Amino acid sequence: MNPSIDKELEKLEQDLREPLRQAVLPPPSPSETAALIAALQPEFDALKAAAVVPALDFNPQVEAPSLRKLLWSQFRVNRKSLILSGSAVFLMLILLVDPQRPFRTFLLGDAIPSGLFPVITPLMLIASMLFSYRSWDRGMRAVESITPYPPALVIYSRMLMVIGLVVSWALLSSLIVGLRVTAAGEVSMPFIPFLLQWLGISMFTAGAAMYVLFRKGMTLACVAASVVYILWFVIEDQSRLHGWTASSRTMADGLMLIAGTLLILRSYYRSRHLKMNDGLGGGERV
Amino acid sequence: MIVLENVCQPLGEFTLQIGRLRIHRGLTLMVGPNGAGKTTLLELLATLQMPRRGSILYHQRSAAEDLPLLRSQIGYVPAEIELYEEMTVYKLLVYLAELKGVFRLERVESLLRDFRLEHSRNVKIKSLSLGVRRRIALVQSLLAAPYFLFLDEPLNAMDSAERKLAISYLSRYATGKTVLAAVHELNEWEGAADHIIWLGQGQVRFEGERERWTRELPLKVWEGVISQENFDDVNDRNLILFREVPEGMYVRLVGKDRPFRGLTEAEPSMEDAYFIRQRGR
Repeated sequence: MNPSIDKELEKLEQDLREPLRQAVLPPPSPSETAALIAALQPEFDALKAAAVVPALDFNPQVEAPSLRKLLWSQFRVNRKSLILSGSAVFLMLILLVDPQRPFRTFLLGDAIPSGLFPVITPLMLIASMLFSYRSWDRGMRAVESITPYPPALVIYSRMLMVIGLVVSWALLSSLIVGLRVTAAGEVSMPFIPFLLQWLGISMFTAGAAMYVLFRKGMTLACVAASVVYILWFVIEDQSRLHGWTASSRTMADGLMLIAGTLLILRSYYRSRHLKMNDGLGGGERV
Repeated sequence: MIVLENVCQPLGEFTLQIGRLRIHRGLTLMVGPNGAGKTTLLELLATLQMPRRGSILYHQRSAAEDLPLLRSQIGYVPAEIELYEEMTVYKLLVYLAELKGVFRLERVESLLRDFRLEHSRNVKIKSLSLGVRRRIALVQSLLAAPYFLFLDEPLNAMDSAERKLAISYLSRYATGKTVLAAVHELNEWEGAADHIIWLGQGQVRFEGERERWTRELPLKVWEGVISQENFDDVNDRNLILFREVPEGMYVRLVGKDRPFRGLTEAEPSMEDAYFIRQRGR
């Protein structure tokens, strides 16, 4: 290589050394790097938050399922119509029962030997259950179905409330009838057998309806309730023909009451474990 | 994010068949002709129906295993709903709130305010106009502030002010949440929608960001004023809209190249994009 070029290059290098040294920035110190990272941290955090899909948890706005809360809510919604219709029917029951002959009614005479209560109360229950089952509107049914509670539990709470109201009204009416009969003083009324008579068939009808509702749907639940109701008439008739004693009749009524209550309890557990509404009625769509 | 895979559900004349569909956070609009399967898809997502085949996962969770959890996070507005007419607005909303497990009623109050329903709170549903009823239907879906909101034609029967109010609320609500709305009119959602799903005969024809929906089109949109003679030559299939003006006919139409002098290329709206895509089928 030409020595003059080497020298020129060397000189150039020497001349430029100082300006270049000044021009080149020194590498950042560790503290400067740390400060930069700290300043950018909020931006990193924002990017990270945007990229992460949040875990889906139970909605914090929603409280845990509670039958008591559901019952209260359902009662508040339906109380006016249920109380009005229930009170009207039972007022009529009280007025129709002749206090001097409580098993004979003003309207039907001796046509129904057991009196009006065991006839009207189960009918009232079936009608109220049908009325309060769900809205007939598909849109409203859909909206009511989307609840974090087991969907069947909502229906169960409604049914239970209806049963509770009807039975309460019937109890109140029985009490009033009992007082009127006592005041009339013509006959003595066996209060517990009287209560068991209508309570047994009413609870058994309701229990059968609930039991079938959560397995086969509303249509078959109504059929089941009607079958139980009709069978009761047949058994009543047969028991008279075969001359059952009062105590055996009361025992039968008591058994029906127990069976009905057990069926209602069984339905409660069933309602808690049904996952989709399709379970109500084996494929019945919402 | 919601992921649907190999979902198969019978519809009236055909079957809803979705190979893979992802519904992202934000506001997604679902379009398609009547009977395309929009309502069925919304019902599947809202857990009102279980898919005959395939899976739907909401942040890795499925309705089969986590139904109460999912339902606590789902709001739904059906296309048609007859609210209980004998109830007042407030009573109905309280009832539905409690049914959803929301017992803190401040939420009802704030939604009544947000949707300008305070004056109707003690009015029975039966005395309210259809537009107000529709607002109430929307409010009920928001009671639990759910993460997933599925809306079937949510603006039906609303007047223009109500529609603006609802769109503005929903676009704000969709930030960080997943809102899917089946709609028939796209233009009013311009600027609010993040994603579009186009459904036709039970199949997903398009799924993607709004920008892609209006960008990747086989035809261009042209607009301007043309003479009556030229207007008579326009193929109806290409015509998006027209109106008479003093200079002739104002038209907005589609075509590969400029169909007439005097027309300029226009930015396609979401509705134009739907028109073009639907026309191509």
